Amino acid sequence: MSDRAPVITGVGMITPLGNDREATLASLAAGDSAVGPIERFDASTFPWPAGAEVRGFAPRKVLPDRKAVKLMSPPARLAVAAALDARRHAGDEAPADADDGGLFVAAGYETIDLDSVLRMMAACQPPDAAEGHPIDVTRLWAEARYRMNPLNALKILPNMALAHVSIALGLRGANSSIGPHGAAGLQALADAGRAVSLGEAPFALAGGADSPINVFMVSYFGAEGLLSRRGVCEPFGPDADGTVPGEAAAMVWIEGEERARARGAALLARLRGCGQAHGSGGYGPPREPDVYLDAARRALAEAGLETGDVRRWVPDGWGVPAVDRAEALAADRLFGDRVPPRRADKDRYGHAFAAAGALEVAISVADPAAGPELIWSAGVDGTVAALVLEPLDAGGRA
Amino acid sequence: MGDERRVAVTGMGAVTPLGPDLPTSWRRLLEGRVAVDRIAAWDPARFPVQIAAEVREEREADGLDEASIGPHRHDRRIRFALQAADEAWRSAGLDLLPPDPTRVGLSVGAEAGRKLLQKVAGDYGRWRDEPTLEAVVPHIDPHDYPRLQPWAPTRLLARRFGILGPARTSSTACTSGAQALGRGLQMIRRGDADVVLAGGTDALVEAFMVTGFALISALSERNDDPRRASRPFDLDRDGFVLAEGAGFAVLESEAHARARGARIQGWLAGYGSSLNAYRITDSPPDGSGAYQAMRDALGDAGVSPTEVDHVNAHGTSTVMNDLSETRAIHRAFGDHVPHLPVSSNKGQMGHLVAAAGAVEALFGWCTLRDGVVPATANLDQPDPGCDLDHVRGAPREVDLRRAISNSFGFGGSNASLVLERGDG
Repeated sequence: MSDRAPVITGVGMITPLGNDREATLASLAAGDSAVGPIERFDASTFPWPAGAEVRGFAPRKVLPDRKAVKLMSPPARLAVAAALDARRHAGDEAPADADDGGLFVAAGYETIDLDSVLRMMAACQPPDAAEGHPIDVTRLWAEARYRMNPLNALKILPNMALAHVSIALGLRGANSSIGPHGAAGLQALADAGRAVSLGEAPFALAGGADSPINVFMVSYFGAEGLLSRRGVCEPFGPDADGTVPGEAAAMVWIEGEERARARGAALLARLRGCGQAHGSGGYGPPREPDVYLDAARRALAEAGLETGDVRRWVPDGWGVPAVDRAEALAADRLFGDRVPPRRADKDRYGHAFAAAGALEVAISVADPAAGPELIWSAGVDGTVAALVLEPLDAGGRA
Repeated sequence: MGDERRVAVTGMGAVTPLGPDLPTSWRRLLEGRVAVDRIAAWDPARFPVQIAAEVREEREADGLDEASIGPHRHDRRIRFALQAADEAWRSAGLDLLPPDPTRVGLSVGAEAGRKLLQKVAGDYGRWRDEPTLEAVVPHIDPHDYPRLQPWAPTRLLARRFGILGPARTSSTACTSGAQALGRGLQMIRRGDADVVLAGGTDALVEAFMVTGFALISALSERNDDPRRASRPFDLDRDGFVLAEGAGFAVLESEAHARARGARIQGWLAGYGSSLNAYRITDSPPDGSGAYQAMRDALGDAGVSPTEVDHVNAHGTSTVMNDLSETRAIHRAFGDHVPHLPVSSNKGQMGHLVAAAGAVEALFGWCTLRDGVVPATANLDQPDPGCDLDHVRGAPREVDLRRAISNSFGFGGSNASLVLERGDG
């Protein structure tokens, strides 16, 4: 292994199961599920009744700059909380090389803070307008100049989670904000692993944040047939009828092996390889097994591993029958008759889209497999990202 | 037969306020044409900012089936992306001999589709106070959701060009296009793809964005003299001018390009990105983040500051950016600054935001190819704080080998690209 081989030395989480890593892991160990009726808005008339919501999160108590909180969209708040948790876990509180520290963030659908933006814009609707009439944009300035905090206009930029995490942690190196979809969280981790291994950054923080439980998102994903009408996410189950939206952020602290050893950090896992592929089908997570297969093969090739080396498989497990079928077929073709044990737990914390892949990695780091594991996730844009994670035992502490 | 890690530019295409394709845009840039005008797409009379650089000439871009393009026909950022990418794809000769689709990647800089917010908001007004299923669902068009998303252009480009390799969308505001090219470079260097279609697209000239940027006083309010409104580095600058358009390049490993006999129009030699970690709207006055991006791009390309012949500046025409960028250029290039002609394309075409870094890199390659640096428009009296070797008045003919192109964004993401002259 080269001295820059990327290793994970900390993970941070804020999830429906708990507001930090320890609480989340305790709930997981206890077998809890956080899926329940949506409470964030009155969903009583909706046919998609369930969600997995973060509860009891008080951003002004948790985040370092209380004044900044009002400028942060919900995913940005979650992202900063998870980033602080990851840094704590990594024990890398004030790195001297923070100016070169990388940051790769996939931030979710509500980054554009649709509710407040739409409320303001909807105020421009002429009172007597007919059904479906577009808003009168020429009224926008008159409405906005008194209703809108000027900095609120910036909340709609998708890179605000990246910006707020960089400010909160003082990270100034290689970076990207990745288009929000279900594969983006793993794309962020892949970027970070590559940035570290190629020497662009001595360490990098990477992950995702999403907060999709609002009228708008539930309506669209429901109308697309992606959400369960039973209110149960049942990955690969015989009665599966869709997923349940989840709210979460997960961030992973990744650094070069030599740096980690030099500072006496616990080496938790290695990022061995990653691969990505894109489907050419319609909107939604790919229904073609080939896309999953291609991404997985690329990741294994980079890791220098054979399929027989894989000790656990973490599929995306949407609980959407056509997607589950594609994932299962891809695994059959990849592993033949030796499909490794599978972990698919979104029945307990829902699908946190842009955060989902990073969350699965964070959970796997805490609950390691017996050897290398293959994790993949799929985005509604048609992308599949796959990652090979190799757990390191506690003896990794230098 | 060529290096697998060295990244060539074998195709280029753009739609800008200056023209419907790259050759036209480049010619008009050199002619000094200014594309800033009173907004024509909607009535800006009740807004403090009434000017922008709009795309008023478009080419047809075919090749996408009706089911795919239909719902997006009126999404300007998607139309621009398809047009510019089509031009780039053809100029690379890939329409005649398509590459292995699993070895082609896609890297797109894009922001959310804001225009659609207006339609969605109109619907939302119907149900915001009583969000019952009966109230909401009649207003839900399943196509609206993807139309709002930054990745919508990525998905359609993948479909149009049959791309099956890695695809990614970078959304870092004004830095998105440059980051997309940088990520494309890395995809090839790391062996993830042999060919990457990389670029950016944006269509911001609409009421909501004008309102948002006007609220933070970022835009020029020179409504009575639009052609003189965007004036990078000038003492009388008062903000940037919103623009729209797209730019795409076909990036290709040298080995792949040579093997198929492609014409090498330029090289993408280095990429650096950094974060200010300072404030959401402001850049640090000392230009430290911008400096770091330039330093890292030069390091990535393995060249020293004295080996750079030209800076294609971010040069937005805001007081803050132009000062901060000047300081960063001084810090990065030191004694070489007097020998370093600088220009910003934004004086003539405004700020294309998520597309800016891509289009300006394309102009950078044209600059190197033709040995002529375009002038920065409206730079009548340079700000003494912006003491650089500005090209102004008329383009300057110089023999150039290498340039650096800068992009700095809201939220503090910075990116610099090192560009090199191609084979001719």
